[in-house]
Amino acid sequence: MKQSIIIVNNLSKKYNEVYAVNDISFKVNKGEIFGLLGPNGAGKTTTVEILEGLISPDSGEAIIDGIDAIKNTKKIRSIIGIQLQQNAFFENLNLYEIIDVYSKLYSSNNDPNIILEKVDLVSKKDASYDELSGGQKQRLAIGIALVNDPVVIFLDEPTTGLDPQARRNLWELINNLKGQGKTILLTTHYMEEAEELCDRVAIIENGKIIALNSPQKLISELISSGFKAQKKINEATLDDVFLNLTGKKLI
Amino acid sequence: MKLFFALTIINIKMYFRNKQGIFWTLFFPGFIMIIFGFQSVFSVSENPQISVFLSEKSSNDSQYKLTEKEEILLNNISNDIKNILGIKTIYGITNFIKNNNHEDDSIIRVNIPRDIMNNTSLCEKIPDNCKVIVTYDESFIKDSLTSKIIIEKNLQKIILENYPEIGSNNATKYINSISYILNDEKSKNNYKNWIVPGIAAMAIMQTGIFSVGFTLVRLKRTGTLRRIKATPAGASHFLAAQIATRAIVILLQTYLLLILGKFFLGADINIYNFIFWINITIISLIGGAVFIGLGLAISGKSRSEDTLAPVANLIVFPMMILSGIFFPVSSLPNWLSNFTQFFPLSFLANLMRSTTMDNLQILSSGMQTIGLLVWFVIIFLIAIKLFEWE
Repeated sequence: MKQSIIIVNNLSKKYNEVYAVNDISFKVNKGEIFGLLGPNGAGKTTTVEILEGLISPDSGEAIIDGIDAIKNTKKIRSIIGIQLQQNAFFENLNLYEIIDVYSKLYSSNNDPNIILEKVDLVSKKDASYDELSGGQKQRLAIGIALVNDPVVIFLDEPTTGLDPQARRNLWELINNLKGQGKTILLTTHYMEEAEELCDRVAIIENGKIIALNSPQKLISELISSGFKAQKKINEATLDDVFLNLTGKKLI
Repeated sequence: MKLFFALTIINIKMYFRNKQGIFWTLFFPGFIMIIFGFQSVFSVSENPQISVFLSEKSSNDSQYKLTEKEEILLNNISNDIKNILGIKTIYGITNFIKNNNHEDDSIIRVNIPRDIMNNTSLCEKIPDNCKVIVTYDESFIKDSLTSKIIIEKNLQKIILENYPEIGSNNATKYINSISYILNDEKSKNNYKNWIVPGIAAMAIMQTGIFSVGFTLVRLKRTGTLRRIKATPAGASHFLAAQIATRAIVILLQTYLLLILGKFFLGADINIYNFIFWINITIISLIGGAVFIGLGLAISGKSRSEDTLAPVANLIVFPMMILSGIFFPVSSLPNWLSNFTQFFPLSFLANLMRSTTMDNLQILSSGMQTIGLLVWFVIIFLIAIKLFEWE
């Protein structure tokens, strides 16, 4: 039996009489990458932000690593790593200093150099946030999510708006984190991202979970129901052409 | 506390790396102060008056009584000035030796040698002690020229009455040869002493409102404040560090402006007195607290810099113009000055001025201090009510 590190039971949140999250329940196992999938406005971010202690739910419970995430938000914040959908960090500070500020806010003694190494930004140590590319900004945000050695990392649409190279690079980084034993809950609206990264996914629509399983099982279930893809899948995609032409190195 | 200090140091670092911020908080007010300080753009006299005195050489007290003729001359001059310029005049007799050092609040001071009335050798040679001296405030130059004409007209009349034999041509010649010593040094110094503490007060307002307001709105708009809020320490330490940084900047800015005023403009500020700096520090911190609070209050509901700017300007501009920064509140119409004297910036500028100009202790300006403290309480209650983290 796998150990659950996140337990969500009957969580609901309404905005102006409309359910953003409607009675959802799921469990995330320790060490897995769990994906919340769905179109924009499905309720992914609201769910994640309730778990992060940024939004209080109307009802339901959420437990992370045995701690009540709704009542004990301060304690929860110290054991989780957060990358928000909208990221911005201080102007007029370099990356080393930005990470140092967050280490202080998390009362952590981690060396910012080690964090920069983990997210492959050592060469940008003296650069300011504004000088980074989109992919580098996301890696910095993930680096900051690591300053407190979290048990669970929340990544909210980490690759939205990135080019294919930067996206693949970030996938590699996320897989590395999993390799280090971190549990990751990520939201995305890219199906190929979920397929590539996630051990299990929950598909959300209108605030409700409509399916929950591993990507492979969801696909086999669909096939066994008699579904046939309308078109033969290409052996290579335009994404692959782009990658092949421009190389895999980071920008 | 350790976290607060660490965050304050980081915030100071951020602040001083921001060249635009430095420009607006330090260079801009200094620049405005120098531009205005070298001029005497506005009169700073609270109750403008013109004084017309006959000067008597003798130190014999019995001589210090106006004769009937002198009374008529001075009375005529006074009435003409009052009727034409609408400015109150005083007249009398004064000691010739002392009158050059005489200090009063008159915007124009005329000294007419008493000998003019009695000199029988008028047409031959005009002795040095027979010169009319007009001392005037530069900002009243037009009025002083009009006064000069009024004095000339009356002098000519009285000379012709007393010495009809010299004829009007000679009388005119005599009047024209009277030298007018025009002295505007006093007014220039007055204005320097007025503008330096005024600009220091204005700069506190600008830093408080703009620097705090705009920074917080930017942090909110970009989601930085939300990210800080998601840390175990929360955003309150960070906000406190932001405020502390602004308070430090406000102090540095005030010290620098006063020192600049002293050494660059030559304003009369007693910077070698330790108690003076303690007073300035207390006043700047109370004033800073009021305007930082105002910055927090207006950033509370603003979603972007675009919505903040008009609100900030709506508060800053009337205060900048009507709080006695560039000219005294008393020169405004009564209905307006009755109202603007209660502006927080009016209180702050008055406190700054009473410390730099009159060397007063903060406690001796009780009403102004209380006024500012009342504003502090009101504004902080509003800020708490309006402030939103997101």
